[in-house]
Amino acid sequence: MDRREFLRLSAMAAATAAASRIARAEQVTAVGPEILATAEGVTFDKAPCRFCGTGCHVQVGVRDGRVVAIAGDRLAPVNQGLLCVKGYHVGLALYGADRLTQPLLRRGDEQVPISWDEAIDVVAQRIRRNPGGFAIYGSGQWTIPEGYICQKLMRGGLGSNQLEPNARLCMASAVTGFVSTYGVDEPACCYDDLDHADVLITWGNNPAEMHPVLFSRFIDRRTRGEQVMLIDIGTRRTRTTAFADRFLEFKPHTDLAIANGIMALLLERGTYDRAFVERHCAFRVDGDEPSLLGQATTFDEFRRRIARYTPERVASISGVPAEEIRGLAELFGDRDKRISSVWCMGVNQHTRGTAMNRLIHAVHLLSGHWGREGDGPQSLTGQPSACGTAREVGTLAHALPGGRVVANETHRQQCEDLWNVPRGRIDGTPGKHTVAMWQSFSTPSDEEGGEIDTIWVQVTNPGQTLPNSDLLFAPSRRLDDKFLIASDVYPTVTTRAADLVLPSAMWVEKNGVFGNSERRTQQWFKMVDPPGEARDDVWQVLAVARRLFDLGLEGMRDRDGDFIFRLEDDDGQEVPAWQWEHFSDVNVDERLFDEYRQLTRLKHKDLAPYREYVQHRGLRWPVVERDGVWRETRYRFVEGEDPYVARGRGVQFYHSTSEDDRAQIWLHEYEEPPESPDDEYPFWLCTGRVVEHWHTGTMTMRVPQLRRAMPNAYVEMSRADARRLRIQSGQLLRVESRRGHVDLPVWIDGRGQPPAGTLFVPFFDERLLINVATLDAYDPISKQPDFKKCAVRVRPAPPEEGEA
Amino acid sequence: MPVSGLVLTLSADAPDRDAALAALRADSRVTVGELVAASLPVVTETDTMDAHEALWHELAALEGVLMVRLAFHDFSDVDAPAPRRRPPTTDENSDEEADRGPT
Repeated sequence: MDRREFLRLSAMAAATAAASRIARAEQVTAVGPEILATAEGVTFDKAPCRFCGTGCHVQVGVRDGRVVAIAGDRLAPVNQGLLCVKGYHVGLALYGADRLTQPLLRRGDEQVPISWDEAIDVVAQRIRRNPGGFAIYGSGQWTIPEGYICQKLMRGGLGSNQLEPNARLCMASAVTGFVSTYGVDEPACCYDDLDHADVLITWGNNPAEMHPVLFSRFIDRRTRGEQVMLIDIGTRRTRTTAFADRFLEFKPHTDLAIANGIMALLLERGTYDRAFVERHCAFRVDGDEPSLLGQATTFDEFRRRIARYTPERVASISGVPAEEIRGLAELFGDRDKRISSVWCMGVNQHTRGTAMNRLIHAVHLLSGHWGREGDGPQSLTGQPSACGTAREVGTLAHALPGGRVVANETHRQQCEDLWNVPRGRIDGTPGKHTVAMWQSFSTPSDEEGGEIDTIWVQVTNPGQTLPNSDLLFAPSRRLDDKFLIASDVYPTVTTRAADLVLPSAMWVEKNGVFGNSERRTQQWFKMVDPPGEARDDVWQVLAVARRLFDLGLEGMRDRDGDFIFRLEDDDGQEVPAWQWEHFSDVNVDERLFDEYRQLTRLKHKDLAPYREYVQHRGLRWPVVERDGVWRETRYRFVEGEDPYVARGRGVQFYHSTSEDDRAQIWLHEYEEPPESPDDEYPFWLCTGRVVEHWHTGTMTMRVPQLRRAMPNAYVEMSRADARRLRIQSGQLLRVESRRGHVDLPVWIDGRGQPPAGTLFVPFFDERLLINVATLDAYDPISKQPDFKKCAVRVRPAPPEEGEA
Repeated sequence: MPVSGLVLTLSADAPDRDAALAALRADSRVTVGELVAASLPVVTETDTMDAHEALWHELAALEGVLMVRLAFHDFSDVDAPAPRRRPPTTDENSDEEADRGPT
């Protein structure tokens, strides 16, 4: 057999095995070696996919120091041997020709190469001159050790809370929704729901494009003849809609009224789950000001106020027919059905995002669709470790590891003690959230509010993703006293604007640990070297910290005078891992992770030792050792699943904010959005993603096949609007808000189909920055901006300004 | 020459499914495996990565194919792609064949 024939047979064997698993609904085990046959000399190892928050496991084939093959990991419970188109390209994304390979320092209009030693010194000196003005801005693409080392550097070393991830822009409202409902963050249920739900409801969500492997777990059941229903509740038709049994199109921002309408009917008809509510729920409303805790109210008061959301009133607010509202209430009133709700950016990027998250939980709690397989609310994330790093490590500006917050003295002391830094080192005042941080950076340092003078951006691209970017990002670049540092793998809008660029290792060029959307922690080892002088982000932070230590910055010493990141070998000898040539002498990831996991038990987010994850395709926390075996948890707060639920309790919300083991059912009235279309700006603008490109396209736009498949941004417009305005598909159109404009080609009846009066623009294209037009208004509790709704107008692009 | 093992999910509609199967069997770049319920394993083989990617999209757009997923992808004898140093401008795209979206 020749090599080609061997590869053909290997490919067919892998595909046939996967097809068989789909057809027979076979479950996979998450432990064991993967054996793949491929070209000679290729060795495989596991890694989670670099892209979205689903957390598919990939088998990565390496030969001669280069990734040469990719396979879906058949032992991975998340994806069961299958990958989407982005997984197909995850290996090639390493090999764009313009990888950043050496540190670059801005001198005048140019960025010139400098040594790593000089680069580390530049960062350290910027911090030392004004530690309080220094901030780190990362993302949900940080690995857990990367986020943790920044956490400890900032709060435990510098005593500063100016640490923030871009996750504020994508899931902060999910966090506040979970915390204020259950007293603790992150979904209680898991992806297994997709294998068991009778009904899947997508709330402002397009998983067919954004989480395709996950979505296919549900759709595969149809192909096996199972009777499952998909209800898509959205503001525009998407690929998900094409699979839906029912599509409920609502006017932007009115989803709160829909949720209220369902609950009003459940109460009116008496089809709510009275026993579940009486035993496990309490009721909550906002006080004078929106807050995380609000104030208690009664069932009777809740019933009285929500009764106003009659189907007819909801229909008039939302545009969803009253019969459809009744249909949803009927479904939720039927406890023989299992209903899973999923949502992502549509609910979170919302000036009422916290409220809408709470209301989805409330619908499930009130109806008792909670705590069974296939029966519960599951929020999704867009980044691979938004949960693992931003939420669990606690890299948000107010947070500490393991669900702790800086405002709580006991929480601060627990971290200070573990880190062996002096009591009082951690500041009790939260740092600046994303919008405030970048506002400060774009304000002159000698003016009020301009105290942030240096930001170190890691694994994200705020120059493209911040809302109203001409206000939040661009001004800083014209201020001499502001210094922007960017660690990244490819040139981006942000690195091109930076004063110092640090080249980073990417994905399997380094060790890593991610945490996905179902509480699953996933580990991988480095498999290939990064190009040129690109280096691990963990090393970059470690090297800067050590330079500060050597410069005498007190915060880099612990209570014993040792370096706060002291790493020892098995003999107890200090390893100088801050020197690149010694960085691999110990597994720094393992040391950081095993330190961090000690902070995960307070909120029962227990993680196993690092070595345990080496053996698995991820484990869902809490991971608790019983009889010498580390066991994961599929469903939190459910007896028989969650080891922390007391025997006989059935369901126990043991982190309840009301301290009585009850979840909170919140009441939120519908309110008008902060900006709506009017005579001057008559269209809604919604922004989002496309299946080919991941976020700002910094990786996927460098894969020629993906770039060719979706080469540039566009504006989707309904045929009715196009006909009325006499606009042709492909015509260059100026999309203009009160904040800025961009010229885009029109796509009529394209992939997504917005209704008349609504436009959609994807944000992946750095040449066509739609975020100059988006609104920087944000949710009052989560501080998450609303990228899904603002008012714009359109007109043909002026010819002289029409060039992109 | 890149080689992939894919799983295609075919429509429950018999005429659509039959049409998809016929089209796939007629395509020399595709080796069709045994249909398991609605899941069809196929092997795709092309001369270049670009052609491989284009074929993925062709399969996804085929009447009767609901979903395309990857099980295995070997590009061990393919040189790494050499994309341009920066993403192209909108104008630069005009000389490239775009199979999705307006340019």
